[in-house]
Amino acid sequence: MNRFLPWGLLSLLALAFLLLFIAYPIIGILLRSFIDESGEFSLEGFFIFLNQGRYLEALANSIILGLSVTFCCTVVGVFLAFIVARFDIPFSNIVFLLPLSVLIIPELISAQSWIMVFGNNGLVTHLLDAFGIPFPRFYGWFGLIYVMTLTYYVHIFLAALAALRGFDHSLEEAGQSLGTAPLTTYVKVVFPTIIPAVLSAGLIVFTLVVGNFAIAISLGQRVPLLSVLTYRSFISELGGNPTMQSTLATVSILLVALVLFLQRWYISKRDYQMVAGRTPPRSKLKGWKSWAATGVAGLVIVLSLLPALVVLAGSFTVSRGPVMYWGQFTLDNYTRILDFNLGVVGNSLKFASLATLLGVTFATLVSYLLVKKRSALSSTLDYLLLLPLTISGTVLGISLAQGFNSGPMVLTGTAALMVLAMMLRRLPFGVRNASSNLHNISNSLEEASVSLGVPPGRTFFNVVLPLMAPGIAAAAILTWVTTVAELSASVVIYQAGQETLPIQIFRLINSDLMARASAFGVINMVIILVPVFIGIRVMKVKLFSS
Amino acid sequence: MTELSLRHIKKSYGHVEVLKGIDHQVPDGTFFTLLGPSGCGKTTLLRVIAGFVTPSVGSVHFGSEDVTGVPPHRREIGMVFQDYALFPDKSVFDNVAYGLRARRVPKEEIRRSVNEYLERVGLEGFGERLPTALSGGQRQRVALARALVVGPRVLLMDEPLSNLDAALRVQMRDVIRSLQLETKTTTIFVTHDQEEALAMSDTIAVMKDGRIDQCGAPDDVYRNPKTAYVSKFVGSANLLQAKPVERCNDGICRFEVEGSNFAGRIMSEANDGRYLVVARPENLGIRKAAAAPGECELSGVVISTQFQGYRTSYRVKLKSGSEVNVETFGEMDGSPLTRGDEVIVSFQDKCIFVPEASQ
Ligand SMILES: Nc1ncnc2c1ncn2[C@@H]1O[C@H](COP(=O)(O)OP(=O)(O)O)[C@@H](O)[C@H]1O
Ligand SMILES: [Mg+2]
Repeated sequence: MNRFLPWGLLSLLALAFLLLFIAYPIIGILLRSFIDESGEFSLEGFFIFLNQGRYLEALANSIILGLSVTFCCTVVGVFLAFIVARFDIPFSNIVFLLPLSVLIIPELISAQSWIMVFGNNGLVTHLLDAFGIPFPRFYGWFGLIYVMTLTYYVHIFLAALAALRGFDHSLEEAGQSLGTAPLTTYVKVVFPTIIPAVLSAGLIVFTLVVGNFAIAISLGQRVPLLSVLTYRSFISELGGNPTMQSTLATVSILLVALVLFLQRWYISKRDYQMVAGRTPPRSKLKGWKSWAATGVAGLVIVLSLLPALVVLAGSFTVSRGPVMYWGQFTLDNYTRILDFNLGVVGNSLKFASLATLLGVTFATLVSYLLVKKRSALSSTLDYLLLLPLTISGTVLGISLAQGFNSGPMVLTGTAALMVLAMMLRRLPFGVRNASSNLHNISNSLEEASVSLGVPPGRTFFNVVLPLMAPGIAAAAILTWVTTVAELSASVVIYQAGQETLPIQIFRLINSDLMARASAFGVINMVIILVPVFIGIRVMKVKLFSS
Repeated sequence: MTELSLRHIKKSYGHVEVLKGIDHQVPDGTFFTLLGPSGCGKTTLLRVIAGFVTPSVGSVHFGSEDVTGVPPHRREIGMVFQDYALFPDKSVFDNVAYGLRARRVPKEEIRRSVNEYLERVGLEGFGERLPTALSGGQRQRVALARALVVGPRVLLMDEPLSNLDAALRVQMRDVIRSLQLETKTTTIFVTHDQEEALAMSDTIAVMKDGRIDQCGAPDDVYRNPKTAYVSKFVGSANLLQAKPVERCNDGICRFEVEGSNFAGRIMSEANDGRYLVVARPENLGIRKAAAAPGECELSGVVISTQFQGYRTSYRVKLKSGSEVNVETFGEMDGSPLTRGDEVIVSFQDKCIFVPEASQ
């Protein structure tokens, strides 16, 4: 019995927490899609979904967008990885900052900045206009695919780079010794071996695109998408037809779950382990090839980092309504925030700190329980932790709002729900980060401490926690970064007075007030950047080790 | 200081009984070794003593105190692990001081004790280093100091030498044994290495399938194995089937072994009346066959010889087809034996008899 305490009890508490705040709302939303307004079982929601053209169209659009963006990301990501892995290009060190750029520049800000460049009042749009060249409409498929590709290609880049690095160079040499030309060797020998990694990352990108809200709503006014429709059904029909919200949420849960299932099945089927071979040497390119490779890589890097610069410039630019007076500088956009909107900054800091604290504590505890104190509850915990991966922020927001708006526990409208929503989205990754060092900590270490007279609980703090620290720090930074940038769940559940930076930016973009949005964006990025910088520079945290 | 007693300890995992009733007393200050092959339950028994495993049945006593329900951190034990289990982020000094700090010993005393024990294990001046900057042998010394500095009631060691290379292992035996003698700590030492057990222990308990098969001083266990299993596990032994032919007289019994008459002591009674004769290779005599074998002698042919300096080993194939190993020390009388020589193997009066079936 005493063996069950304290770890068994903690497992039970963690399980109860996940059941209450993840399983219950999600199961609730799934069930409600089969119930009509009178509370009877009905397939009405699905009937409407299948018979009203716009729903099916949105589903089809989401899938098409997912496929297109995944394709574009694969082309860009694999190409860039190939260049970086094989060739000695001038600024290859900067390339390794790319994953960071995605962390630091929230997707909403990325969308905003590209609107400022290519949108109706965009820099380039005006420039071309002056020369009488019409710029194609940015809002719609073009803008969606363009911005999402720039946002998500890094996933594929990293996967492909890891695969190319691990690839045994002797295979390639063997191919060449048989008389195949280097390029043909590449296509025939090397690319097939990185396909598993790329495909696996591609499926993840697909789920991210389908679940994306920030870019979808900023640029997709003319293309109905599942995530946007789900959001609108919730916003416009508050008190209206909850069946339709649930049905839309259910469809997107099923779509993402299906793809994730496919991805896991694919990983388990393939022998994903690659022989760790010699890292192939990087060769120097000459002539036009060098220029081409450098140029393309450089372009991708510039396009990835440009949003930060555009927003920074925009935040100091004079504007009147939607019109930006580029070249005329002002501090107005910031003084306005100081005068009227400090609360928004405060909200962001407050919610994100609480969510990070809660999330990291929970992740630390749960990863310890899952790795070191496995019990009958552990596999259930494992599965519950996968659930947040299958739902987009929008769906999480709706399921939380619906799940806790009545009954014994009313949280809808409270700040607690905001914190919870932000924390839950990152939880699976947090647990993965926190447990990264845990597998290397031998059980005898804890037993040694206990045998020396330190009780198990204190042993955890004395012995295990210091060794988990690097993983916990990575979890904390990444959780902070994502919660400060969180929009899709919080925008569904926030109440007046609970606006965060992303929500405020989102509202300003909707009103086409880009300069003011930019000032908020810069503040948002600074808040993200500071801990990342401290973590990497001062604490030497490895953010991308796992 | 502390006598350890184990009373009727049983432990089952599901339907598998890993410990099947262990009853034993370890007198205060002795070096007690659990010897047995992998999987026989040594670690489980050690962890029962430490308190990390709760026995299904039975009790553990330190002196007069029943500690069965006492959690490990209150048992005042010291443990040394196979993988050293040093805290990698703490210096050697902090590792050794760990248990003292948990006991809220004053700072000055901690410094004194830690330095004393570091000196005892031959690591004075290593306090500032991290464990990663030490060799395997040095790490195990730190672990030993860490376990002993708190003055444990019982010191528990689970195969502490098996990660070290051969030469270091022999050297560490001395370090451990002499520290144990100096501190007079009751010690339970787990190993699967019979040589280690024989060299270090006051008492050896040979374990088999969750039971203690035999327990005694090293030379007693070696000379007087009570079962065929113990005779084979501790040292090497020649075992031949023996048929009892006469009731015993003064403890000496007569047997027929491969057609010859043998006499010797029965170590434990066989329920089914079937016995094996046990003879250590070094207790056998060997000579060129000149006449028919006499009492306690068998004839055979040398099938291999190995000269190993101070001793020579022979492998002899007996008439029946069984083979025995014989070792001689120093020079042989007469001309040396070579392959194919007909020989007489003499069991002399040192044969002992054990039951054939394990019981
Ligand atoms: N926690 C456990 N659950 C199930 N079986 C166990 C457990 N611990 C040990 N065993 C089993 O008990 C037996 C004895 O193990 P152990 O005490 O480690 O042996 P030894 O240390 O002598 O090699 C082995 O068969 C092992 O598989
Ligand atoms: Mg063992």
